[in-house]
This record gives sequence, C-alpha cells and structure tokens, in this order.
Amino acid sequence: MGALGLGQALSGGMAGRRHAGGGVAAMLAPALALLILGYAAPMGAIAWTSLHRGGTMGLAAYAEVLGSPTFFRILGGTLQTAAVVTLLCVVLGYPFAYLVATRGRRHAGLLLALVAVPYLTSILIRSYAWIAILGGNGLVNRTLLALALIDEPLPLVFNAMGSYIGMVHVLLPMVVLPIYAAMRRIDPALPLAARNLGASSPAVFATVYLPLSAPGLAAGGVLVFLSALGFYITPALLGAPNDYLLAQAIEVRVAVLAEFDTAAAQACVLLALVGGLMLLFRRRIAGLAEGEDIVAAPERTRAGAGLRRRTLGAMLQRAPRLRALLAALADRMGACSGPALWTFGLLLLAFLLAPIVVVALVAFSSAPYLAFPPPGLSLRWVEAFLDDRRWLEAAAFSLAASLVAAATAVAVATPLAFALARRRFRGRQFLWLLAVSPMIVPHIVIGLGLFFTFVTVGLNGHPASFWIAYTVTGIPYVVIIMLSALRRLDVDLERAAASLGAHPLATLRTVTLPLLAVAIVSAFLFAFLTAFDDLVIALFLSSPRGTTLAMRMWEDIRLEISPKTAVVGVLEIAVLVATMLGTALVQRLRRTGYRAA
Amino acid sequence: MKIRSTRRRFLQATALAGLGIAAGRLAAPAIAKDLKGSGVVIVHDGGGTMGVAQRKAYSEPFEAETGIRVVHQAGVNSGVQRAAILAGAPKHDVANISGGSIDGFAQEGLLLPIDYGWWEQADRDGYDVVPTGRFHVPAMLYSMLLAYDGERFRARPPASWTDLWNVRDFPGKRTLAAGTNAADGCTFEIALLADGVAPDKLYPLDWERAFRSLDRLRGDIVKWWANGAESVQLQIDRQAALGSAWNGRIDGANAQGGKLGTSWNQAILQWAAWAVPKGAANPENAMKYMAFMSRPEPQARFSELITYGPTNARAFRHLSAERTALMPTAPALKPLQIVQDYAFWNGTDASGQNGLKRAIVEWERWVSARR
Amino acid sequence: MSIAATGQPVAVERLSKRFGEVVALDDVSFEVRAGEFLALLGPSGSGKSTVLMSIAGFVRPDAGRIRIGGRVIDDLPPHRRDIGMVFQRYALFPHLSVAENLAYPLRRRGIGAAEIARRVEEVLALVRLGGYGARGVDQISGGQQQRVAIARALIFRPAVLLMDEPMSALDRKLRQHMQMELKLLHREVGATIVLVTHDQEEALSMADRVAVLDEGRLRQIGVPEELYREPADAFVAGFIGQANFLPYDAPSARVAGFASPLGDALPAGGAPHCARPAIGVRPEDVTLHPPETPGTEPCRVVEAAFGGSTQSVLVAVGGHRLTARMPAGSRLWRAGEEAGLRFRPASCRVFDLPAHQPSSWSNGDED
Repeated sequence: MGALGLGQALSGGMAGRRHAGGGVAAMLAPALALLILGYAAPMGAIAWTSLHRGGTMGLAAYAEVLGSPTFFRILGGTLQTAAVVTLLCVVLGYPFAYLVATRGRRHAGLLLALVAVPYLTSILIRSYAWIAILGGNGLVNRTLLALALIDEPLPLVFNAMGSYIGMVHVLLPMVVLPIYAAMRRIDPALPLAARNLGASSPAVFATVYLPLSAPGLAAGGVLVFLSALGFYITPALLGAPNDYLLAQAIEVRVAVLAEFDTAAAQACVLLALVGGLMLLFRRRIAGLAEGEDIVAAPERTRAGAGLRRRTLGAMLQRAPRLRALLAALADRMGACSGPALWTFGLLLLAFLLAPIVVVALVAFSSAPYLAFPPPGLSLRWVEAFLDDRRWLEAAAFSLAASLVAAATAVAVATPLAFALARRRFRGRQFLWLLAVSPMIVPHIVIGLGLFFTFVTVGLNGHPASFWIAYTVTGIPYVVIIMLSALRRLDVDLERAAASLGAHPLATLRTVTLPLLAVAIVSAFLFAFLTAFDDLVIALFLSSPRGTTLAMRMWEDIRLEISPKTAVVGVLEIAVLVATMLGTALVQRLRRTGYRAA
Repeated sequence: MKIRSTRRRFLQATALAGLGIAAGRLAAPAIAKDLKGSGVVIVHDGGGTMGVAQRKAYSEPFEAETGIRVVHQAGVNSGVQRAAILAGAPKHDVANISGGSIDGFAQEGLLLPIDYGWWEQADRDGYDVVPTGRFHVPAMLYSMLLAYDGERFRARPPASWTDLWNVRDFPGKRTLAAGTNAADGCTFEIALLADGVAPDKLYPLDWERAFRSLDRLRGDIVKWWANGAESVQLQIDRQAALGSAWNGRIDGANAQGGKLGTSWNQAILQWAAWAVPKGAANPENAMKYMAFMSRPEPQARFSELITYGPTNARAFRHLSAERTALMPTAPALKPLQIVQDYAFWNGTDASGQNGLKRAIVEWERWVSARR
Repeated sequence: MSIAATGQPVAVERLSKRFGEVVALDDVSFEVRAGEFLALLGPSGSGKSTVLMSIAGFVRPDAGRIRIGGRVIDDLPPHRRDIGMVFQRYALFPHLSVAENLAYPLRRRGIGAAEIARRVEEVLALVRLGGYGARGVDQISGGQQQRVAIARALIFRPAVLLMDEPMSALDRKLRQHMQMELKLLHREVGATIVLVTHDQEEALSMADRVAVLDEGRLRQIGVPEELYREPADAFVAGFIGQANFLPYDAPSARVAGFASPLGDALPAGGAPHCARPAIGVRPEDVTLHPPETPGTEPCRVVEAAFGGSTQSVLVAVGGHRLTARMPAGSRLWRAGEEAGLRFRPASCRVFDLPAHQPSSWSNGDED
C-alpha cells in the first residue's frame, strides 16, 4: 500500500521538478488569453451595464430586479424546474449507467455514444420532433387511439411533462457519463465481498455500489442542475403555457425591450447563484478534489475523504425523502435482473433516439410543408438545401468557424486541463470556474457581452469574432472531458515512458495523447457541435462577412418551419456518425498497424 | 404626421444628424429620381418566402437600375438591433423595425432622417393608410386574424374574437401570441375585444380587464405561440383548433395545403417600417434603396409574391383583383379591421412605463403567478 | 548477449524527503555495487518506494544526492537518467503491441529499425515470449505481461534496473517461478538491480544484499544471512524471518518470570544498556525436552502444528508465549503436554524494544 499511496502523492509525473511555475504559466496562457477576451471581458461589460442606467452609475437595475416579487417567483420556478429535471435525469440515468457498467461493458462505447446523440442535434429540430411524437395528433396518441386504449388524446406536450421530456432528453448524457465513469472505478471484488459478508442483493447495492458511485451521481446531478438553470428554448417550445423561466425573462429584456441594464442585472444574479453553486460543488463537478489530494499529504487525503463521506452522509441524513428515494431505487436496482435492466435500457434508448428518427423521416419527406408522418419520401428537400447558394455558403461558414473554433478549444483547453489536474497553483479553482461557466451562463448574455466587447476592440463583423466566441463556448466541454480523462489516466504509464528515455514532449506525443485520443475526439465533437448549433450568439455577431447556417435556419423558421431544416439536422447526425465511425476505424487501423510493425 | 419635404429641410436634417454628405453632391442630380450609384447597401432580410419576395421585387431590379450591390443580411430582433446601433455598429443600412418599436428608436435618436429628395411626391402621397414619417417609411401592412380549423368549423365558423373565447360552441384548444410579444402579438387587444370593448374605446388598453379576460381563456390555451411559424404550425398539426395568426402566414400555410379558415372581423392591422440606423455604413445607398421601394411597381411585385399589403396605394393599380382581395388593405377588408395604435404602445403611462414594458411586466407577473 | 548490461554502481547519500507533515525519508544512505542485486525491504510507508522514485527521478528529495556510476544525477530529468524501471502494475502501454512496447525505449534513442527489430526478437527470446510480439498487451497473461515489462526495462541496457513490487500482482506459484527467473536473468545480464518489496522472503531469496527500511530510516543493510543471524535491532529481527521476544531482566540475567538463568544462550559480551531490554530468539533456536529435564524451564504446550519436515509448537512459559520449531523427525508434541524449554547456546540477542511494542510477542505464527 505504501507504493500506492506514494503513487497518488506523486501523480503528475514530475511533481517535484523545479520551474514548475513557468510551465504552468505557459500551459495556461493561451486559454487564459482567449477566456479573457472572449468571456471575462464580455462578462465585465455585462456587469458594468448592470450598474449603469441612463448614463449614471448605480444600483437602480438591481433595485428593480430584486424589488420585484415576480422576479423571485420566476427564479423559484426556474430552480424548481431545474431540480425536477435533475431528479428525473438521476433516476433514469443511474440505472442506465449501471446497465452499461455492469452488463453492457462490451457495448459501452456504442451505448454511451447513443446517449450523447440528442445532445448533439439541433434544438429547434429536436423540439419539433417531440411535438410530432407527443402532440395531440402525434405518433403516441394516434397509436393509442388506434389501439382504442384511450378515447381522448393524452396531454403529453405543452405542459410540464413536455418541458421535462425535452430537457431530460438533452441533459441525460451529462449525468450518465460521470456516473458510468464512477462505476467503472469500483473494484468488482467489492460487491462480491459484501455479498460474501451476508448482504442481500439490494443491500449490496445500497451499502456498497451506491455509496461508491455517489461521487459520479453528485457530479452528474450538479452539472444537470446548473445547465438546466440556463435553459429556456426547450421549455418555451415544449412546456406548459405558463412555464416562464429566468433565462427567458433575460432574453425578453434583451431582445424585445432592449433593456440591457435589467437584463444584465438578472444575468448577474443568475451568474452569482450558479457561480456559488459551482464553487460549492466544485469537487463533485470537476473532481478537483482528487487533483488537490494528489499533492497533499497522505493523511490529509484520508481526512478529506472522511470529511467528504461525512458530508454526503449528512446530506442524506438531512434529506429523508431523498434518502428514501435512493433506498427505493436501490431496492429496485439491486433486485433488477439482467433482462429487466436491458428492457429499461433499450426503452430509454428508444426514447432518446425517437426524435432523431422523426427528423430523418421528415428530411426525406415529399410534403411541401412540415408534416409527420410524411405522406411520401423524396429527396426534394435535400435538393432544395443543396440548391440554395445562401444556405450552402452559410453551411460552409458555420463548418469552417466551428471546426477552427473546436480545434482551438481543444488546443488551448487541453493544457489548461493538464494544469488543473496536475499542478497546484493559486487561483486554480477560480480558473476552473472561469473556464467551465460559459456552458452555464445563458448564451444570450454571453452574446450581448461579446458584442459590446468586439465593437470596443474593433472586431465587430470580423469572422474572427465567431472564432473567439465559439472557442469560449467549446472550452468548458474540453476542460470537463479532459479533466475526467486525465483522472483515469495511469500516471505510471507516463513515468514508464520517461524511464525508458522519452523526453517529456516525446512522452506527450507517444503515450499521453494517444491514450487520451478518444477523450480528445469527443471533446472536439462537443465543442464543434455546440458551435455549429449556436443561434443566440450568432444573432449578435452576424454580419455580411459571416452568417451561420443556424441563423439562416432561424431566419426561415421564424416564419415557416420547412423540412429543409430537418435536412440540416440529418446532415449534423451524418457528420456525427461519420466522425465516430472514423475514430473507431482509425483506432483499429492504428492498432493493427502497430501489430503488423 | 405628414412632412412636406423640401431640399432645404433635408439639408438641415442631415446637418443636424451630423452626416458628412457634401452639399455639392446633393445638389448634383438634376432629377432626384435617378438612383444610380456605386458600392453596396446592406438590407434586412425577412427570411423564407419574405426574403425571396424582397430579392425579386426590390433588390434585383434595384441592382439592375442603380448599379448598387444589395447585400441581404438576416434580420435580428429589435433588442439586438438597438444594441448594435448604440454600439455604433448597426447590422443593416436598411433596417426593418416593427411599428410598435419604431417611435422608441426615433425618440432615442437611433435613426437617420429619411431623405425624401429621392422620392416622387406622388408616391409619398400614396402612403394613405399609414403615412411616411421623418425617420421611417412604412414597409408593409399585415393583419392579425382569427384563424381556425376550416374543416372542423365548416358548418358554423367562428366570426369574432368573442367566438374564440366561446369554448362551448367552438370547442378545442386555443393559441394566442405570448404576451412577451407585446404589441406585435396583439394578445391584449384581442382579449379586450373579446370581452366586448368597443374598437374606438380600445386604447388606452385597460390592463386589468385584459388579464381578467385572459384568465377566462387560460385553461383552454394549449400554448402561447412565440413566433409566426409556430402560430400556424400548431393549427396545421391540430394541436390548436382556433387562434390568432398573421394573414401572410395563414395564406402561406394554405398555399401549401393547409385548410385554415379566417375571420377579418376586428382583425388588428399592423405595420413594419424601413429605417436607416444611425451609424449605417452606406446611408446614401440606403436612402436610394428606400426610395426605390416606395415605387408602386416593385411594391406590387412584392405583394404578388407574398400577401403583405403595399404601403403605397398606387401599387394597387398594378395588382390583379384576386390578389388585391387578399391584401389587408383591400377595400372590402380595410373597414373590418382596427389599426393598432403604436402611439399608445410607445407612450408612457402614469407609472412612467411605456406600453411595451408595461405589457411585459404585467405578463410576467400574470404568467408566473399560476404555475 | 547483446542486452548484457554494463551495470553501474548507485550511491544514495543522506537522502531526506517530507510530504507535508509526513517524513518519508530521514537521512538514508547506502550503496549498490555494480551488477549487484539489492532489495529495499520494509513495511507500508517505510519510505522504500520514495527511495526508488528518487533514484528514478520522479521525486525530488529535500536533501541528499544520488550518484550513478560516480556521477551525480540529481539534476537530470527522468528520461536522461538511463534507468530501467519495472512498475508495480507494469505500466505497459495499452495502445501499443508487445513488440512496440519493447521497441519504445530504442526508438526514443534513435536506433535504426533493423537494429530495433533484431533486439526486440532477441529480448523476446530471452524472456521466452518469441512469437508474441504482435499481440496486444491485454492479450497476454499476467506473468507474460511482467516479463514484457522486465524486457522493456532491460532492452536499452540501462545502468540500473529499478523494480517496484513487481511480483505483487502475481499469484504465489507464479511469483516463486518469476523470482527464480529474475534471479537467473540477473546473472545472465549482469545489471545493477534495485528491487522494492514488502515480502521478506522475496528479498532474502533473490537479492545479493537487503536494505531494511522502517519509518523513513535505514535500519540495516547486509547480505541475507547477516540480517538473519545478526539483526541490528528488534525491528529487523522481527521483520526478517520469525522471532520471539521476551522481556529481559538484566540484573538477574534471566527472562522476566523464568526460574532458570539464560546461561550460555546469551552470546559473550552480555547485554548492552537498554531502556526496554528484551531477548530475541528464533523459533528454531528453541528446543523442547521432556518435563523436568535439568537446565530447562518448565512450560506447557498450547498448540502444535505439523508442517511436513518441521513442527511448530506454541508454548506458554512464565506468563509468556513463544514459538519453537523443531525437526518433525524428533518427538511430536501435542497440546496440553508439559515440557521443558531451552535456548540453543549463543542464540539469544538482547534488543531495545521500541515503546509501541509489547514486552513479549512472537511473529512465529505468521506464514
């Protein structure tokens, strides 16, 4: 055990090397420069705006916001919605992760990729697909009516349920992936040991599996909760008539009222709330705790672990309902036989992928307007898309901007993740918060701030403004994905490379990066599709020199939803599938190539 | 507000606006209607069929006649537009702003005065329903109608906003514009008209009464629509049986096989305007483009392509009778409608808030109170 | 043999290292001769791995220096130290094949492809894995993985080979087999090897010399026999092999509670001055005789275990318990029997017991 403890104490390879400070600065500088220009400065502009009304500095906007009971009702409703969505994601995501981690290991890559697909398809298209499935005249209701199971269409959409379905659909990967990662770290011998010590199946689950996977559960839950706070398009499209969330109030103030000070003040309140929660739960979200323990003394590690166990225990103590729920879940899960679990998993996948199928069918519809199911199949909309020079130009611009930005995000945020995971320096937590929060701040706020900033520095209308903006929106994904991948990376492999004579750069090239390849590709994919799908920021940055495909779609969609937009959705999915297949192929080729060598 | 423009007043106006156009240049064209020039003009693009109509009716002939290249740039909502002008970098040389917001822009000094020197006086006089303004030119007229499932209510179609509220005789879910659309959505006007408020007593809007009226319909609303596409898609998908929708959207849906019925009774007539933002990169070309759009022939062509009414009445001479009948300003339809009072929407009330702000504050309070 | 290494001597001089409040190494010095096989032995947290990591360059000591071949290497980064290392979990690169893993250090040294291929084949043959080069490292067994790890660490003829608990992941039988193989390999290639282990049997059977560490300090270094016969302190005596400790009463020259004096059991020179004196005696130096045999201490057999060639007998005597081990060929003892106990001449040593140890204990029951 001594060697193991020491190994942890040393993680980071050359932890004891001199001049580590200089190295850290070099690792942080590029990401920091982009984050300052593309995020900190815009947020500063927002804060400045929130403190000015009619040219004079003051707290008038805050007084108006905080003095309004309506604001607090909307905030309360937003928190409640986020909490419910989080709970649903946890309840659905945990058994699925359990399935993948225990029974589906052989297909883990595929299963997890399928879970992530909804996250990577256009929000407008996805939402329409849900209406086509869940609406009064939709697939589900028509099927049930045809089977005479119901007399009246069930209200499945345009109510709280629709909103939750739409949000859970998108946010599920955020909870499944960290839980799965935590489960994979559980020593398979432990449940057996518990069994041997007399625990029944459910008891093994409740006393061993659940506590050990709790860190992943908490991480996923917090991420989902924070992201849900910034949602508004999905609930606005699918939710109840009376759903009105904070991000929507901010959007209305910017887009309709052009009342930037109150919009900024509301955004700052949300940002403070989100920032506070993120700092509070930073250990859960980023696994920064492990990073700290790496360099801490061994017994502090133990004390820390004990403390964390205690706080989790205390949290559960103080939340009897949550505890009861978890226990009930544990009972179900523990008793769950393989077939039952697989049935659940496949149903969940069907739920996740149904809208994608609808989108694909609509894209090849022969109808002149958006209708589901399509009266016939044709390529007319694909042709319409390919014949439209403006759409193609916009598609080319979007593709270029998103590719360059995603590549930049990976290039600058990977060293940042390395520094965060392996080096200890002042302001580490703050830097992490800075890098991750663009994912959570409503994009309309980022867009407004970016616009003010770019006009000031003379970048307005320049294509580079898209590059900076989309790099910033991609950085959180890269940081989160790379941090978790780095935690799973065995430092001994890098040490082995060094002992075998590899220069640190050679180690990076021949060992570290190849082992992180999958993480890098998925980080790139997330960053790319976030940029490609962006609409809100583009509204502010667009100019004759740069208009994105999403804007062209939106331009059309405002007035009429045509199957042409579904074609874009299909293209996105095609890009996604091609990337995944390509990655798998390259890996296989490389492996066989090495073997042959 | 009718402004008789003279060259002198224009000069004063441009001087006031701080525009650096040389006086000599302005004196040069002997015939003001010669719009020839060079360079580019960046104009708002309404997207979809509207964008296509704009290009065919206005931009392509304008390019052919003047040699000025027209760049279509996607439209942005008024808040983004305002932010861009405030930052000194407007998105367009020719912007499209809804009638409900235009006065606000003008009052804040965000717009350049229109140079009517490029115009035919007769065209200017042709703006009879909504006259031209100092800082804006009405761009198109459209109307918020009662739309309904034409098949379901074939026997006895609903004929008024009161019928929209009559759930017993006209069963089915409803959809109206979300209150956050404020003036553009007409929901508050509709609620008051349904409650029996006489059209001539509609303004100033009685907010309390409007929400009391909405309270009664609340349970039957399937969804508050957020944009024009949604208003008709909800009906085409049969999520809603009745609702409000713009005439152009209804015509578009029906042209593609939809079967929506409409009632023009107490429809709300609205308009959007062209304007040149302060700080526009190509103000002179913008003025020329706007002058070109005022001509009857291009306006008629535009209305052939999309059922948004021409703002210059002289355009009707070039429109067929069947087409004319679809326009909100068709002689048979015009008297049925109520012109939306943008002066009310832009004016401030006793609370110091303008109509837009008031609508949103009240709406948020109402909507969030009953989750 | 082309991988025959020119093993270099290693000198560790006054090494100290703290991790926060914890002292990992406290003034540790020793030397490893060229071509020597040294085992660093100690319990968890003794500092043995920190020594290894310091030599490899993954830990920077707070004080002290390390020489390899007479040259101070403190400022050399790990990749320039020319040290082969076998990691506890082998650290084979999962994205590379067996042959690619072996070629890795040669590639880093810019060696030509033909030479690499030749040496990879050679070393594969040496570790009896010929034909396995194209396999993925996850497609071979644990023992094979370990041989690959060793081969990879030797292929570039390092000055020193470091091994961090390399046998801990193997089952007992395979472990014993690999111990023999490693010893043979050491003789063949002549490398300087430093092995970290907590298994005293492994250390004694494999190493030329063993350095025992505890709580960050070097307790003793010497050949296995020396450590066994002449442990420097109670810790070493207890850690290497098995031992009984009994409180020693210096004035009467007896074990406290014993009726008879120790006599010739204590070697000449007597007992040094100690705070908590105790005598230590190996089980095989304890002999049992029929009751009331002259010169024996009366005792009672508590438990007896037959072990094939030997028998281990736990006896109660004078309020203490101790273990005796005798050839099974003599009389077999049974629980409850009365007996007389004697220590072999010069077999007992007096130690100063650390404060945390009970005054009488035995690790003789340990396997």
